[in-house]
Amino acid sequence: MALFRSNKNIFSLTEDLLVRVREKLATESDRKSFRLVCREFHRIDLLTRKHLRVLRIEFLPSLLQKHPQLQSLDLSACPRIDDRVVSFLLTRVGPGSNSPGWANWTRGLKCLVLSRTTGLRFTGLEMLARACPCLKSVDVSYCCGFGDREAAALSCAVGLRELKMDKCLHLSDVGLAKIAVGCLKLEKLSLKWCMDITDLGVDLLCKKCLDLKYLDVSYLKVTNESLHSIASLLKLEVLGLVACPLIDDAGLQFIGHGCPLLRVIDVSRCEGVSSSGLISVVRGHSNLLELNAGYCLSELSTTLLHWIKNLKHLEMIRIDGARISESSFPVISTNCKSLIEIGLSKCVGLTNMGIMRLVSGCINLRVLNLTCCHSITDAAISAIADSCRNLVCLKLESCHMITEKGLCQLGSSCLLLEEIDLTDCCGVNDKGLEYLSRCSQLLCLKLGLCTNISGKGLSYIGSNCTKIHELDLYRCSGIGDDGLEALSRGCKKLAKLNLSYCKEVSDRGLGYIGHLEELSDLEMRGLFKITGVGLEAVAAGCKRLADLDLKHCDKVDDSGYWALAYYSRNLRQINLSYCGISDIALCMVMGNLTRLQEAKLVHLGNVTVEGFELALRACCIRIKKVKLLAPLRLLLSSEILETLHARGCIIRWD
Amino acid sequence: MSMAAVETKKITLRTADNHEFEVEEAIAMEFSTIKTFFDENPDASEDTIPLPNVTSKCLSAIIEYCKSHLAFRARETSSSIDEQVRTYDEEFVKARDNESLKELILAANYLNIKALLDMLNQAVADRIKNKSVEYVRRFFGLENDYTPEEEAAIRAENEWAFEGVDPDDD
Repeated sequence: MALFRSNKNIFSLTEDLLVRVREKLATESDRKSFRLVCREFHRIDLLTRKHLRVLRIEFLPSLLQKHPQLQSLDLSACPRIDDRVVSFLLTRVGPGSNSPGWANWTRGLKCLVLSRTTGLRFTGLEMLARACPCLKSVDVSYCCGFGDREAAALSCAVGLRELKMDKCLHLSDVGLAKIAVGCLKLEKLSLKWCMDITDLGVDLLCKKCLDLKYLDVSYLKVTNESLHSIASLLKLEVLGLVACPLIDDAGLQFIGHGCPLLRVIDVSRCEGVSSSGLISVVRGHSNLLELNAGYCLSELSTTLLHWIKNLKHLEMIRIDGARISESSFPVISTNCKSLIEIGLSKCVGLTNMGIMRLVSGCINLRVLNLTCCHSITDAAISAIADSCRNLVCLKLESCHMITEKGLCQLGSSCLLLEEIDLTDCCGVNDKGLEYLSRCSQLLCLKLGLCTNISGKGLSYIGSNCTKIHELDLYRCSGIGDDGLEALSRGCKKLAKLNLSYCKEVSDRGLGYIGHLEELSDLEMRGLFKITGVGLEAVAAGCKRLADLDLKHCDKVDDSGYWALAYYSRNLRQINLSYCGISDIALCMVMGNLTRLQEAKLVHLGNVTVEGFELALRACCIRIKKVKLLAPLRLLLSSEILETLHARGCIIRWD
Repeated sequence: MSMAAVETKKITLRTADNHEFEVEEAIAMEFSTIKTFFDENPDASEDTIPLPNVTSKCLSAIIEYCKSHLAFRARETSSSIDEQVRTYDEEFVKARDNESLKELILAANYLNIKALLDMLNQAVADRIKNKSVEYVRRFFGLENDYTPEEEAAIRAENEWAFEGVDPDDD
């Protein structure tokens, strides 16, 4: 494989050694630096790069031509993908445009992500399925217009192992049958929200695709008959049944006697399921790894608990919303020692004592969800901090009694903590944040509705939690410009920030935000003090900005929107509701930003009907989702509405 | 593999700068190139093996590495042993400058010592991690051979065209 080239310099490494070094580069920014070094390194990058997520259609042909070794291609973020584009890419992209037949990049392609490519249709899909002989995994989720013809096109990919068709709303049993018969090697199938699927379709699937390991039929109106069919799948390991309204305990009995390899089951929000159904499942599968029964159990009965005791390998259990008695916890903690994740959100009857008993045995716990467990106080947090030193994620939303004492314990003992949700914990103050900031591995911090924190508290986070990439300060009325300064100096990796209704923030604060180069998701609703100056600072500084929510920022003038249209080339999603943007500025924003695919444009007081017409025409070839006021339906031209519909754009009329 | 304390078989290796090294057979067998050679020529065990691509400085370091790792492997596997191996590897790499690191890679590649090569490649990757493009060029002793237009095109691609997302990530 390696050519031993004559070294100009004894210390220059050969190609295959460089390939190995390149393969060890873990971050995308390092890989991008690598390809900038020199031509040789660029060539090596092209050889080793196996996965591409293309952001812009203009680059697509040249990228595909340069990467003949591609194994996975993700076009979900690329606007304007449709049948014509696919046809062009398949026939014209290859070594020299006179290459006959299919282009080279399809040869090794194993994985294709086409979720949300609403412009694609069955012709394009069939071309792709036939062109890629090694295709193993396809994702067409959220292509809401897809149905049976698209399923038939996909069934041409006979080697398919994984298929995601969530929210392909027109998929029915007919389409599912084509897939079942065509893709016999299917191992993983997801059909969430494909509401037209019935028991007939599921039955045929289970008779044909005997290798199925993963099946998700959440939200579907399938009945116990489907569970009877599914029970015959001997290799099934993961079963998703979230919010299936028509299944109940009788159906779960079938599962209890079947699917011998079942490891993961999710029956959350299934109204018909109760303890006895779960008992059937648990009794038949003592090797269960994950059990999700959130919001379907009214109570964790003693019989169910008795059977859960036998699940020695259980790693995850979620019983959100159930009533639990204190005596249950010692049973769980003494028997289920492998537990890594426990979900007790909105559980009735949860007390400090219960928590203490639970964590004393479950020392390997990494994820604990105590959302809305109002009776929890600092004593429970102390116990958690003491026992669970490996804790990574802790959710304490609405635990009003938590104060800085509890956070002090966390800051001393749980140093691996990466995610903590303290939304609506009014007891959190600046001192608490000082203690919490000792968890220097923090990645995600949610402080929504914590009205008692100020810039001082944020400055502790800013100095110590340098890895943080998500911060939620929704309605933290005590936060102002000074807090943002501390944040911008220390938290350089911040990618997602919510400042909605932090009313004290002004243009000065946004100036600091402009220093956050990694920021991609910014929600800043209701900031009544900011003007175009602030928005310009953000647009010019945050080059990676992809999601922006400016709802109710009515003092922002056009200079801000012009800056947005000029600088924010990566913007994908925008909410301008209740903003004072003018006709021309709206047209510039919608027209110039070639990556913009979703826009909420309701209650734009200064935009006329002509303004909307022009703006929509400027972006109609790439916009995928737009929210408009209902009266516009009758006022906009029929041509624009038809064009948008033909491209697969979804219009929500408010 | 000879484990006898007294009569351990020794193999002689001659480096590029004409130094001769006597190494125990067990250690020499870690070098897959040499192992293959002996598998094919079982009678050649008395001869001196020439290694024209390896300097004595490199060879002595590599011999040390293989000796230590053989000793680690002879003991029972446990997490404390793994910890010690990790520390040893870190120390092995830490003091060396960029040039000697590259020299070692070339030598380990020539002698075909998989584990050492893998470890050294990772060390190089770690040294160029989070560094500027200029630094990487200096590290490898390379010139920027792009034309300004080419470089601008690659920068544009890096900025706007794609992300290299692993499909296992959500």
